[in-house]
Amino acid sequence: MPESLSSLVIWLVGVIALSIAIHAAVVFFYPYLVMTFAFREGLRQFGRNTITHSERPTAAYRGVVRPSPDLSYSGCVYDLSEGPLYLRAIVPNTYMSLSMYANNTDNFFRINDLEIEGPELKIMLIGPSDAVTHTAVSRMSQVVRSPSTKGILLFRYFQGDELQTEELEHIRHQTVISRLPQPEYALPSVGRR
Amino acid sequence: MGNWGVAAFFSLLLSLVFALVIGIASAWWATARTFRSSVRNGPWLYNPLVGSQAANAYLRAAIAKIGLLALDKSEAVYLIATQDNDGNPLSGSATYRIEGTDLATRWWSLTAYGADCFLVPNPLNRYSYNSANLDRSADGSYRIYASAAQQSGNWIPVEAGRPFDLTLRLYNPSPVLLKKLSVAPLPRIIRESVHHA
Repeated sequence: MPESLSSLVIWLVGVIALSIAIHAAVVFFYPYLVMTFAFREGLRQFGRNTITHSERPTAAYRGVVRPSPDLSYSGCVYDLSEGPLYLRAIVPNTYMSLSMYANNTDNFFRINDLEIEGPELKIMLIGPSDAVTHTAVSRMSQVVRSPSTKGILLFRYFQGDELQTEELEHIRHQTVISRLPQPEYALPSVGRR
Repeated sequence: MGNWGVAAFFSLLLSLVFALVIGIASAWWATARTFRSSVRNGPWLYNPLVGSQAANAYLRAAIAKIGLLALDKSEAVYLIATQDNDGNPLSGSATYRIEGTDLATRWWSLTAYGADCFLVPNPLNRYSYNSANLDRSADGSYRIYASAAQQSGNWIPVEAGRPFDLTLRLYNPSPVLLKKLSVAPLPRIIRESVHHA
């Protein structure tokens, strides 16, 4: 410990400066740290560049805080380091939203069923520096640029009552994410017409 | 290493520990304070920057702690209550009546969470009610009970004696509601009775 007054002052200034630096580092990096854990949890629960459909959350769920038990979640951890991803989903007759989160927790994109024209959602998801060809864009209804190479995308489906479960499950499982645009396929007889 | 070297090493180590404790504790306090300084309406707290790219570093850290993967306010508003309307902390030692009417939203839900921000375990697996699945009075108003003791009607079980909080989610709120959220008629949380062990 410092013995003279001047060395005590120097010590105090040093500790305060270091404390401020640690404070700033904790505040700045904490969201990235949490998202790293969320990616890990997402990879366990969902998968990388693969849409996975989870059950409605219960008290046993210990993934991401404050899960909503009124929603069914489908999602994936995306990784655009090898190029864009193509996403297609059928629009149900109930609330559905798609939201995307960058690696600093920002919700940089979201859309819900009322904002989607037609029976399905088609999105091309590109990385921060990806170039986009006109041909690829023309096949998609929207192009979304992610501010980070990795992130999480999440579909939320509202299940007001149990009667909607079967139809929703069918619709959720039609969702596709891939490295190449999907060929056109016949829409099932459920969801918005 | 001589005595002076040992003393200097421990002095540096102690300084580092001081700085770590102060830096981490103040960051934790500041992020918690960020959410507490949100918009208040009765017992409900709401931060309009949740989920937004305009969130600053403190709010991002607060969201990472208590509401990761939140939506922005045009899609959903998250209101959190840790107290009843009289300012008492919510606890499984009491029965609460939450009463209200529908707000101008597409749909809404009310969910109870434990102190760990996860759903409260209960034999009914009942964690919430939403605007589509709760019993209402003839005039459309509703009452939901949050209690560790069994209740008739809309009942969200919570753990006896343990703190909990309530999250009200408003999906696709109208622009008018968003603008006037600080004075909107949000559900009232009334402590009906206190249980004695």
